[in-house]
Amino acid sequence: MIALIDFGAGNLKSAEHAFSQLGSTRVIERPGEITGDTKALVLPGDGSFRSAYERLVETGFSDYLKNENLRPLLGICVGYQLLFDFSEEDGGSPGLSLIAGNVKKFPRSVGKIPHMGWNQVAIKENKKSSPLIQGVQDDDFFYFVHSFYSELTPSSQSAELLSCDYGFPFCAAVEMKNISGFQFHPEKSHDLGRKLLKNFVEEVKAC
Amino acid sequence: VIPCLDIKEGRVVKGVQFENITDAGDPVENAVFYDRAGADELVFLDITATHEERGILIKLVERIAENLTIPFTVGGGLRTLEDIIAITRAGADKVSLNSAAVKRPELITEGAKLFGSQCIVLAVDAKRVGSSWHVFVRGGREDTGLDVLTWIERGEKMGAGEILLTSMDRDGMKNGFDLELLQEVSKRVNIPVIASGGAGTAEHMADGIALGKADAVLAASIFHFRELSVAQVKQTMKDRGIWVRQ
Repeated sequence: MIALIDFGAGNLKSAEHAFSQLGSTRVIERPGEITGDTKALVLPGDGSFRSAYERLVETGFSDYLKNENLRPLLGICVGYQLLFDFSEEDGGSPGLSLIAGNVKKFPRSVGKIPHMGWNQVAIKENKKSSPLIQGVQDDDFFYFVHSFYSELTPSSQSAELLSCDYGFPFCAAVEMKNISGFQFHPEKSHDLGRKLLKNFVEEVKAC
Repeated sequence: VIPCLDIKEGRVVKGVQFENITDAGDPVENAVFYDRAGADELVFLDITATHEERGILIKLVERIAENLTIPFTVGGGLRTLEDIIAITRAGADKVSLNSAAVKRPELITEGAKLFGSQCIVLAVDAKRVGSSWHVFVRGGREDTGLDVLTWIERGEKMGAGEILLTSMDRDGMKNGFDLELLQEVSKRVNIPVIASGGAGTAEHMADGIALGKADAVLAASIFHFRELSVAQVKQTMKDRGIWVRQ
């Protein structure tokens, strides 16, 4: 069973539908709802980083996830950004610190903000064989909606799977041990997005 | 490339210059067809939404969300923050506000605060009046006297994340977008502009991007009556050097 964490963000429905088609899926609001048959956790959704993090602290998910180092955890969009140490959004807020890095606002010079729409990704060197991105090729399109991007540190650089370019290259997907995340919305990225979610679910089943 | 589905009483319909409505099929069936055909996003506008029909629309949005793998926007008759919340909860990625935003611009800000600017599309029905364009509301029936360019700049400041700009003069005419209107609007805002109203050919669609400087192009009738496919539009764009997802 895959558990989607509801932290009050918008549009949980799309992620829920997408995962439901791949296997047993449940939306949970408290860590207490995590059961023995919960094989993986997903942090999905749009919304503001700060209010999302506050909600994770309130519900106890923040402590839970920081100590959880066995189950696979997938972050999507804001859920992906929450994996990092800190975000500049809304005056600044700490994140879950599961992957080293900071979330920063795109400068005005890149063009229209938010970066919204379909954009192409490039697979990082030595990452072509990662099971999570099987089926993806350089220049494939995914659907992005975000005003902030993550900047990895030298220690986490090797976690980057996919990069995207919006004025400059930024990280579009990460994977480090049991933690992974997509800056774009796989649940809104047509067949290829669904393929990524399927890859994740299959990896989980193989665990 | 965004096909638009006008919805009336749970069916897809299409009119010319906001009138002479004809039936064009089941919304979910249409939506899935466009999803498979390579559409980048979809827009659903409930053109006759009354309070009683709101329940039907929400059920429909839920069904659409279950069946789509691309983003979609829902608009038409959304009046309150509660409407925005209900439609978003039902699975829409974005909501488009039109008359309600003119009546109470704070609604844009409130929606953007709750779900982010990317969720709030400001839909503007523009019609040439003298040497400028006026904002029309209530399905194009009422001239607000507001200047389109002034209103759009204000909308961006209030928190809109995108502009859906429909030329009422061109809507359903199939003689191309109002490129002058598009250029004027695109120049003034730093958020994406979707061109709507008037596209009759793939070349028109490409013109909207290349000449009108729009970020996306929307059409309804030419897609619904299968006069043109999404793939044809994208091929034409590609041939003209426009960067587009194939």
